[in-house]
Amino acid sequence: MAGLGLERVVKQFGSFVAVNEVSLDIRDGEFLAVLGPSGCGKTTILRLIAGFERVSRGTIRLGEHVVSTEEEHMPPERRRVGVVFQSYALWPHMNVGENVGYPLRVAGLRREQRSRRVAQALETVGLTGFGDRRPADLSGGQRQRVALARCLVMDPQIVLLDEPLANLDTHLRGSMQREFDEYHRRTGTTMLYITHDQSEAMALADRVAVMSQGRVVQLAPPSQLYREPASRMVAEFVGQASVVEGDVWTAAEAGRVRARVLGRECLLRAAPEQPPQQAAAICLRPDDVSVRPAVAGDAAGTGIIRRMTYKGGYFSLEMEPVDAPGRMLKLNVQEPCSVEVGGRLAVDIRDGWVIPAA
Amino acid sequence: MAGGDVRAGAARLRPPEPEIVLLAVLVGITAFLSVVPVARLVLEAAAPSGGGGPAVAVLTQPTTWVAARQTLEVTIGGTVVAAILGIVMALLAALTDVRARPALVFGFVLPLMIPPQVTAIAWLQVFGPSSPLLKMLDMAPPIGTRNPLYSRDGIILLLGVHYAPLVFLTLRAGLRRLPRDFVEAALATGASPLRVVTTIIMPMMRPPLVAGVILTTVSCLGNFGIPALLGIPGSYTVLTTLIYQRLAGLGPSVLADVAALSVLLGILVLAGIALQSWMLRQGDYRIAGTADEPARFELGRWRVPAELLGWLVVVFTFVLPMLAMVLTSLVPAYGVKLTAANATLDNYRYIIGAHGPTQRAFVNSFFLSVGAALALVALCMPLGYFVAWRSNSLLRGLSFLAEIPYALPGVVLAIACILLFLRPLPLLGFSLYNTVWIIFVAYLMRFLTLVLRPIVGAFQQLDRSYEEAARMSGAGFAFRQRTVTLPMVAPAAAAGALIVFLTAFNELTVSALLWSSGAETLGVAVFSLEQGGDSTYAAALATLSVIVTILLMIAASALGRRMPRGVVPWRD
Repeated sequence: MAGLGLERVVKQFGSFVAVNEVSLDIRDGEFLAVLGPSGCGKTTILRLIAGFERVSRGTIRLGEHVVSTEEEHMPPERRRVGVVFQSYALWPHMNVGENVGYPLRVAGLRREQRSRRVAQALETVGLTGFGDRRPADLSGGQRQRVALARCLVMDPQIVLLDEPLANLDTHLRGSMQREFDEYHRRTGTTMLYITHDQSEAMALADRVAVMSQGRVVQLAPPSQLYREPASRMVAEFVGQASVVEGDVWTAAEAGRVRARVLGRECLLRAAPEQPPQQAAAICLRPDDVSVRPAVAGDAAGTGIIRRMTYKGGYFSLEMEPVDAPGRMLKLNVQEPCSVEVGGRLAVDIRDGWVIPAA
Repeated sequence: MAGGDVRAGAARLRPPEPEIVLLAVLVGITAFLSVVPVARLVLEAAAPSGGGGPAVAVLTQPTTWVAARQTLEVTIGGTVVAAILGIVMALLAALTDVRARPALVFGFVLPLMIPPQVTAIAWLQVFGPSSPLLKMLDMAPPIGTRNPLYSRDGIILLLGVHYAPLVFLTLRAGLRRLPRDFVEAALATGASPLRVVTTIIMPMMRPPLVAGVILTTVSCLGNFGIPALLGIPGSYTVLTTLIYQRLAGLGPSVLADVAALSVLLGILVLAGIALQSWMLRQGDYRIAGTADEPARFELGRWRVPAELLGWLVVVFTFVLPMLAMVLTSLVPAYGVKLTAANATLDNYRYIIGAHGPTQRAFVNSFFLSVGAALALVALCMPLGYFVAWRSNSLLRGLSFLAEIPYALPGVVLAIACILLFLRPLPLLGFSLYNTVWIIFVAYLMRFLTLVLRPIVGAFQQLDRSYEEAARMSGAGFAFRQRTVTLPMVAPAAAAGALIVFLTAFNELTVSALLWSSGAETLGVAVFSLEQGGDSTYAAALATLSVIVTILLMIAASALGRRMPRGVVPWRD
């Protein structure tokens, strides 16, 4: 087990900068998720850590050892970094036991020792007795576990998971998530989990690094990521959020500011150094906003319902505020409700977060 | 704690040494097999070894230009016949609901897998005064009548039948990739099926059609077996047979002459290939979507006539000539009418048991083809890895150049080999010429691409994470090649090796110019027997080689099930 450090890592492919000055510190035993839309550079980060790609600039440190610099590169076969590939990469010409035992075979272990450790690893992932099966005969979830077991036997310094649930059915994802969680708690392995699915990242990780266009835009525990997004991109990518403009009147005091948003005065959460600011970006989660039928004379703080989607038990609404035409405010309204598309509602803002100016 | 600090000096910026050494060796061998013969020919074209005198003289001789004109005549004629047959059969097999499709495809493709000299021998037995078939039907022309196949039209017919599968296979492959949506969209506008074929399908199929037709043209240009067995008796000379006759008659003293002729033939072939790439650059033929469900028409009441047509073609192009050949191999003496009473296996006994050159030829061809197949697999498995996964411009160029010795006519490659190996090898002090080794090297050159292509294809279809998973498990280069990557491309390598074996075992064109006494090949043996008038022995030997060919094709089909699409040409 070991921590991992990336220091101002840059990876260029030709003129394209896939990873741009990324610095990350993963503590020993931590479960860190790297979250981002496709093409944001998150898979390149994984490949750099595993050693499949060389860094263009910067340093990668694994435990106490520097493994990648601009000049020097430790090949992947010497890093002892486990990878669970998106495609699982189980060799079809070997059975499950042979797949799992491969790292031990490489290490030159004797057959009896090997089969004992393979059996242990298979037991850990709940596949006892599957050693003689072919990978092709397994379900997606079982293949996933075999790939995990293959990492496990090599006693890796860190396990990297590349979108491990992307190829699974929705209902399998939940159970595999529990599996990863349990595996992490039981083994205490340092894990780096690459995903584009924010709910996976939030559910599993101790901390989440959100990436966009090759940069880490925020690195924080899930709840902080949700409640205090560092940028508009994070706010919109993590959880449902509406970002609207508002005027902050006061400097932050005990984490709160007074502001006017959508024609309503309200108290919002803000960073300690938040100054008064015109037209600040305000992150409103659906639960931050409550609605009531608009009454005559309500001009400010109302909006027109443009879309309604039934979500089971409640409706998800998109409302166009009269104070911010063209913007859509996302709201939830409990069932039963008498709202209709085209109808008018008045909003009350109970909470919200002032996104710090870049 | 496994692994150390990179600064401890174990890791380098350069890839580990064994890879570099291996790559250098592979590139060296491949360059020798592909670049050297081509370069030698180019040198010959630029600076003829005869100093310009005789070589230029041969190009001004009328015989040269008669042969060139006749080459073009049979090439164009043969291509037209092959295109018509191939297109009709491909449409039938790929676009309609005829039954027993795999059998029909296999039957139609068989003539291609049978060596041309065997095709010629078989067809010669269908016609002519000694045809066992015609004799059984009492329709044989009187003794002394010339076999009508000894003519230009005979050569055209046989070239057409022999190479029709090339058009068929490329067009069929294209049709199978055509998504059903395109056809259904046209049908939905109210177009009749015939109109859909002419206005939608055929225009979209231009690239495979052009590829198949040019491939046929190039193959006709370089064919030796058919014009040799039909044209030499008929005094109808083409470039390949002219080169052969000059060299066989006068030996290496005319090397400058024949080298000039082969450069001329090589230029014709390259012109054909250039024409193809020019034609394919015209227009946009990218097809969006994938063909999970290829387009298919229901024939309704026309299905039975269509099936009849398909099987009639197979009967006339394959079954009938093969039957005639087998019957000829069973007659006690050439020209005798075959009956149940006088049928004999004596011809087989003689060629297997008593005829020295044929026995040697069996041994030589077996070891040449097995040796070439194994050597090429050993070379191409690691080479394919580098070409597909560590590609750079050097390797890409090399894998392109490896195609040329196969695309060139065999006669031309043989001349290049003579030019290269006539003089004693530097340092070693002996000459490969007049030994079996010159044929072996020529086979390696010629068939390199047949093994390299499927292996590169297999690597390209393989997810690279398979190798990366082995790397993360700690496996070094050699170990992960041995345990992970090579086993995964082994089926493709086996298929390539099988195709090489199949082709080399019956090969004639290259060995016809390179063989020497004691170094005969099976192709040469069949050819010499037929040329010497021993048609019954030739038929027996040809029958044996066809049987071996079919058995190997069946083996390849069985292997093909475990292989990426397209490795075994006649399988889906």
